[in-house]
Amino acid sequence: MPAALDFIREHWTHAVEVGLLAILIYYGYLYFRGTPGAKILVGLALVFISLTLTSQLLDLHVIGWLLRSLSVFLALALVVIFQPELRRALSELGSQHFFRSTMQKKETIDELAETVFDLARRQFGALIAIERDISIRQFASTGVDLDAVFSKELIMTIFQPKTVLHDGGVIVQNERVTAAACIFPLTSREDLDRSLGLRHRAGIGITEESDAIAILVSEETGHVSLCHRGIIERNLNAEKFRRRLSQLLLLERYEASSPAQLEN
Amino acid sequence: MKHLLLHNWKIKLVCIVLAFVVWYVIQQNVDPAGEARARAAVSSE
Repeated sequence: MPAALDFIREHWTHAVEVGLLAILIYYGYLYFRGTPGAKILVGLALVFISLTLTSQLLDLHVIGWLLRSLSVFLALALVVIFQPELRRALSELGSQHFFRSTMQKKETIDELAETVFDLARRQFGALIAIERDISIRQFASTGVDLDAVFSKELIMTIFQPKTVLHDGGVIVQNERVTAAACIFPLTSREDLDRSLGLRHRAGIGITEESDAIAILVSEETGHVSLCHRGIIERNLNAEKFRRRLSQLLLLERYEASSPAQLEN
Repeated sequence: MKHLLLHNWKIKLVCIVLAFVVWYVIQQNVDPAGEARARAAVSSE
């Protein structure tokens, strides 16, 4: 028993270190999964673990030395591979919370859901990006400035197929429609369903570049999709859409807005 | 607490293993003689 106590006394700091690292890796994984580099990360981690364990178990000094030497370069390679995600994470860390969006209100969510499903019923293609903490102002400049109060009628009018503004995305900031016909960056992911058109790729793209939420209505099928952090959830019904939008806009906790929670 | 531990338990387990491996590699880099010293101490006992 005293030996066990001595062991704990001697090694508790190591346990704390491993615990902290595990928490960091877990939340890092939650953040990065679903991103283009996630598969690379998992692959590298598996190779790293298996090589380290093998070199230790079989006492392979050269492999051990190689791993230790390469770990520095590996860290640099990870920074390069995850440059867009890291940039997003850092900009989230630095973003200010002074001007919380009034969009985070239940009534607005209901109105938005009603609008979106009206668009879906009429099979009007639509792309709406709701700004959160990270500014998407740079994309507003690619379209036409509006700065109008959000209303169902306005959105329905914008996405009427024969209007000048219907092509492109609408940006909603602080309950106001700030711009329409905006051009969003397209996602470069190759693992997406081939049936996804440019509108859906743009919806995913803007959520990869920022913490915005993109709402998509398919022109062909009238299906409603929701994108957040580069993850797309397709073919949502009205109830599910309202519930998930509420989760994303009303709940502040990261865990609540992570794809794992959304899938439940 | 139960939910905290058991939710995503497989991923959490993998993270702990990975954290240990990372910690071990870093430890070896920071103090490469540590293991040798530990071995020497054990053999002298």
